[in-house]
Amino acid sequence: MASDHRISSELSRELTLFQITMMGLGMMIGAGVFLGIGNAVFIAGPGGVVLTFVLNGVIAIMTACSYAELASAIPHTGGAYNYTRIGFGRGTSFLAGWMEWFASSVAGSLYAVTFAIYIIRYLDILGLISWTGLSTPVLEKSVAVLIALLFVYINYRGASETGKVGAFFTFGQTLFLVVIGIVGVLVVIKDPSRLQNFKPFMPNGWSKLLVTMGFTYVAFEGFEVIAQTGDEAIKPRQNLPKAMLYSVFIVTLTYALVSFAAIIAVKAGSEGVDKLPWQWIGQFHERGFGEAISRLIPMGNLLLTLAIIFASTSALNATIYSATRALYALGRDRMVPNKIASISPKRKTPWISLIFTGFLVLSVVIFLPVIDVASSASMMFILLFFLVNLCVIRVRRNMGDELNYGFLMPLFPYLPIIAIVCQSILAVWLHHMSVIAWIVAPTWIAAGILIYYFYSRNRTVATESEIQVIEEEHAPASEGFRAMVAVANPTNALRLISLTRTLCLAKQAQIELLHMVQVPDQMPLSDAEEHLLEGKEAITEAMLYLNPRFPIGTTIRFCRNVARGIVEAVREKRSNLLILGWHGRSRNKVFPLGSTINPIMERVPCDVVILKEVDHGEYKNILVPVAGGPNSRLALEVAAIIARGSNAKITVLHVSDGKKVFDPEGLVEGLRPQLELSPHTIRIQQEKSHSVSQKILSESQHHDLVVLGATRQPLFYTVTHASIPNTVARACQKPLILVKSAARVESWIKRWI
Amino acid sequence: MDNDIFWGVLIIFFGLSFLFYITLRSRKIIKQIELKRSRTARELLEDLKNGV
Repeated sequence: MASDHRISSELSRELTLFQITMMGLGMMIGAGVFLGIGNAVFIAGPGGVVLTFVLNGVIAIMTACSYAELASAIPHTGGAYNYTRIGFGRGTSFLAGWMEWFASSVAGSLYAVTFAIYIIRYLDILGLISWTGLSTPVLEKSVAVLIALLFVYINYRGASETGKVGAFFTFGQTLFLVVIGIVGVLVVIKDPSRLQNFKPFMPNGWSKLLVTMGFTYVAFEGFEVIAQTGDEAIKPRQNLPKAMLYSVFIVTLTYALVSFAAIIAVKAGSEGVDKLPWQWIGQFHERGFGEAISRLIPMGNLLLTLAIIFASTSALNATIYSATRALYALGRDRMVPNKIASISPKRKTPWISLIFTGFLVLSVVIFLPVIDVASSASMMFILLFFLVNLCVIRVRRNMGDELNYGFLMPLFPYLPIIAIVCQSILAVWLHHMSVIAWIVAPTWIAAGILIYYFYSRNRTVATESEIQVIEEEHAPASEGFRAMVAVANPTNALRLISLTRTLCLAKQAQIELLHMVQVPDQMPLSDAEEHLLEGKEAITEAMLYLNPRFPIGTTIRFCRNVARGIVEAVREKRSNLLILGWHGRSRNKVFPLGSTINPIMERVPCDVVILKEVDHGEYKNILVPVAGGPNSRLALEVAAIIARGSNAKITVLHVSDGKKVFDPEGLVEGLRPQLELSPHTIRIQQEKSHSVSQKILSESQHHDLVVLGATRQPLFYTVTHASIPNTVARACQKPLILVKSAARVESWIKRWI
Repeated sequence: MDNDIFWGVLIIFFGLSFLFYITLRSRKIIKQIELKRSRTARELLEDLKNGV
């Protein structure tokens, strides 16, 4: 048999189009809209605020097209830093990374400040801050510092809410804003006189529009975080461009709707409104949006505060790890001292980069007023996008024949050129809003240029992956039976392999050994191999054992989440069988079999065999509890394979609680030709008991192995209802094999029909 | 004043239409390219121009 001795490393692609779109949205809907609307109304008037967001959306989608085209051609972690390295070389690339670090950190400061402003505002409404005796600005700064510190610590711990949970939070926030917008439209339909709030439409003149556009542009900067997922997104050449464009489209529509709703929310002449509605909203500046929305929907203050807590904290988390990654990449490539890219031995996160990022975030929070924080963040993103728009033209002109594109922007090169011109105008006009931004941003860039010329230029290392892209590899569809064994550690590896060997000899399988290495979000997956190598011993040991016997492939995959990583690996390699070890405990009430096993069983599209305490020993008495269904059949099949290898006896046990009628003899007779066992090997035992699981557990004491079909109930059902297989699997003191057939978990409706 | 509203609404309408157009057009391009795997920018542009 041909065998492959190589151990390959792979990055697990787990993020779907929905998830990366939500990551982009999560970074955008954080502060710009909440702080920006009040100030934009004050400066540009009621019509100006809607126009601000629509026109910013138009400029942003042009830049999104540039990002999308580059991301489709170079779907690799690094974003603007990576693109400029390929397009312009190391000097410009350093500058892009340097600006990205600053821009993301300052955006983080802005989100911390947003959080603080709206929390203090709500506590003030409840009358809970007067006792402190401190002024509102001091309280806001203190809360902003505390929340920033908390998220620096969370990032040090390596925890993150990216991925599925984060995606649903962001979806909820977006939905909340869309609902506000829809309520606004409904209010206008009911009371068309509110449209008078838009008069005068542009009271301060059209030129003010450029000021508010520049100031709120930070609310459109989510595509950088999408570009960062190049190594982790499924089908990145298609999904990254789609996610970038969809997120800008969704966010622009949402902002336009919400700003419209904010203007019509205040009824002229109503209680406390002694000015024109737009003037009344504008006088509150950053809090203007909150004051307006609290008059639009019932419990508006509470709902809005909750939405802002979720929005600003998820955006703060995303920006801190995005900034940390940017500085880490500069350190890794020795553009700043290499020490900055040090990884914490305990947490596996780039802790020194994180400290510098935290320092920058806190400095901006403490020393800059909120308008200057927002303007500085916008300014830096505008300059970064300026580079990316130049880069897309250069890369297509110079390397159009070398790169594989998944997306080519329409109207090339007009879109990036128009974006460059528009962004330059916005940058210039920003000085009307904040002179400090115009001092801080150029000073930062000048400092970057000096650092590059005096430090980085001679020290920078060439990275092997300047163009190299990690592609998705799909196994050919027409090969034989493929089994995947997920190996966690050397002890677990040998235990798994003993049974794998038996099962795979029967199935003539091709075996793929898989070891998943979980990587904290703060470290790019592409750098994980350098820092996270434990696990190679397990794979090597397992490979040496199995290599002479089977065709074997071995892979170490770097992932963000082990369960999602295994499911994606099974899909990509088109495996027919997945074998996993289980320690038998679960500290989590939501996941009866643990937070890794349960999601895998729920989603994996192949047969699953889970081994608990199964070792090298031979088993002579095998108990197979059955209740009908595909999992019972697979359990019998697995038990038969083991019994054939060790001349064991099988007891097929059916325990009836009197509610359901099932004939185990029919099941065994139907399967007998497939089982290939002599008739006296299988014994059928029928029992009656009001506690099925207790009876199975007591019977298991007389056997040395239990093979059990998993529950067919979906996970959310088992959270509230005890499932017999889960109870037995957890409590069984004997070696146990839990199996689940590839048949998908049936919904209640399907089973009912 | 009414003039401002007219131009404002017109800009909003064309701005949103442009967003819609770019998003849909880009989606179509991504689909077209997906059918022609491993092609360079120049080859793809030729094909897209010729409507292949």
